[in-house]
Amino acid sequence: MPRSRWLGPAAAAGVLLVMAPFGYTLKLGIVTTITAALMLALVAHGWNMLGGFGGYLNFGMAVFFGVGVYSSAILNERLAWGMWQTLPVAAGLAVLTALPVGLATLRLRGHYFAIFTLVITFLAQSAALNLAITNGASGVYTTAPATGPRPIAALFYYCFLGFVVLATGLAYAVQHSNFGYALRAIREDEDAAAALGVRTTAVKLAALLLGAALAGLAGGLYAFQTGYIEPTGTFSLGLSLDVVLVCVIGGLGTWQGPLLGAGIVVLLEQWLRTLFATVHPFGWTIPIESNRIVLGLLLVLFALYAKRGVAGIFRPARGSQLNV
Amino acid sequence: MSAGLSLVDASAGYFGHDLVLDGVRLHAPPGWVTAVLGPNGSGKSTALRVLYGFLRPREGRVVLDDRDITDTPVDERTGLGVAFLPQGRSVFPRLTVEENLRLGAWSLRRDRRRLNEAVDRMFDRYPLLVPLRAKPAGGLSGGQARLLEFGRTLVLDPRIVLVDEPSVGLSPALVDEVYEELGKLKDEGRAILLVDQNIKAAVGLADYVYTLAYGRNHLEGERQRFGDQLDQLIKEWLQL
Repeated sequence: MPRSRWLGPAAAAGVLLVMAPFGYTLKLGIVTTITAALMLALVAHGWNMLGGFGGYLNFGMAVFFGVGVYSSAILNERLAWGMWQTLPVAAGLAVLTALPVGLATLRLRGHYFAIFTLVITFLAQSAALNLAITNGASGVYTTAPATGPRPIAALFYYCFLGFVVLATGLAYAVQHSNFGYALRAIREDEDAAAALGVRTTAVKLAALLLGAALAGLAGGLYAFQTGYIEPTGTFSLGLSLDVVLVCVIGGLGTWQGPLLGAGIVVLLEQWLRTLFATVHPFGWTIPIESNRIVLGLLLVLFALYAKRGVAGIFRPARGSQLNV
Repeated sequence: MSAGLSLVDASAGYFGHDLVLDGVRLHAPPGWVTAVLGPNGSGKSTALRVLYGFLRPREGRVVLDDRDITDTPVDERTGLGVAFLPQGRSVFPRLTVEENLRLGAWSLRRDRRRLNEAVDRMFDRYPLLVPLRAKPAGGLSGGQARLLEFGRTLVLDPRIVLVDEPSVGLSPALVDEVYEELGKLKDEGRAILLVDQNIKAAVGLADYVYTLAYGRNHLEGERQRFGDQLDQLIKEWLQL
């Protein structure tokens, strides 16, 4: 099937070509919105490694992201490291954080991992609130390597775009490698995979660490993009859930899933936000947070009726189904 | 001990002091089909789980050619020449036929040439799979899936093959083919350890038969001894 195999990557390359000048040609607000989608896509690529290919639901992606955010911010504020120098450290520390999480939970099957990852977000939040190095609730300031609204927006647009391209390439490689087959086999029947000689714990751990590195990288960039960070906004359950939503909507265990899903989720969130602010049925004011209800409903609908996400519409035979 | 795979005085269970296996001995020598029979709940499947390493025995040992492999993790057993053919449909439905076979040779993943050779050998052995190469295994018929499972189990050319309930869920015509294929594996000199509810077929194929009851060894002997007692045995089990 050479045609269908190359269709996806070719389309992606075409989209990339169209997106190349956006950093300077589009309105500032739109550039920032696309950047937000790219960041979400990067973290979602990270989640997809174990969650999508391997079928282990991770509700703690914000922790690895947050460790990246704080690593970069602290190195920048305290030691005046430049953005590019801090990024490897951000990714590395996110991996180091993921290591004990994986070692403790991935030997077990089933839901232990999901429950544990749900808890660690709150652990990380309270650690960041109480530790001296994170400056508690006062937060940390960063200095971006650019000044002025347009240069800053363009810089982060291109940084996130670049890393998303790399992460997409990585996801494509994983999907078509022995490592990827092993992850999908684990998802489908872990005992049978082990019986074939797949070292399931090691494979799951590797996928978790790979994902944590991507999330940490995204966090490191985000620290510089936003300029000021604090614990609750950084270690937010909202991001952890958004990432799952992105992959479910886009398509679990496919390299296209995080890209499609992130675009849809960010657009929808923005649209709902403005909609809820302007529409007043019966004179009521709808709280902006209601958009989570709509997104939650969407998650349920996809879980029930479109288990392979948007990517599954194009390639029904591939990708993984959502099974909870 | 002699060549082959043995379970030596193994006791095992899942919860608390509940023993599913109580001092069970089994031995599967090369070139033989060794059948393990017994009524439901007699510990057949648990014995197989212990032999393959999914369940660690509380007492006793698993021995492969005089080597104690009780503590060898499941995923290292393929490397020792032991393979497992699980019960029921066990192909990975979203992986293609070829990807399923490649997974069977996963321990060769760092040696692409040998991996490709091993996979190609399976396509030579089961030419019916060749046109299905790029198809997701979920779309295969029952017989095709069983062939793929055989291929995936044999891709590393194991000396010992553990088989769990090979005929469950198959049409009668396919069942014959499965036992024929198992006979072929035996003729190739492999040790086959067969756990089965299909007593007639299993005894027909077996060289040596063990029966378990309440987690203990019950009867054992060469096939001839069992051939004429079969009906008696089944009746006995129904009353157990």
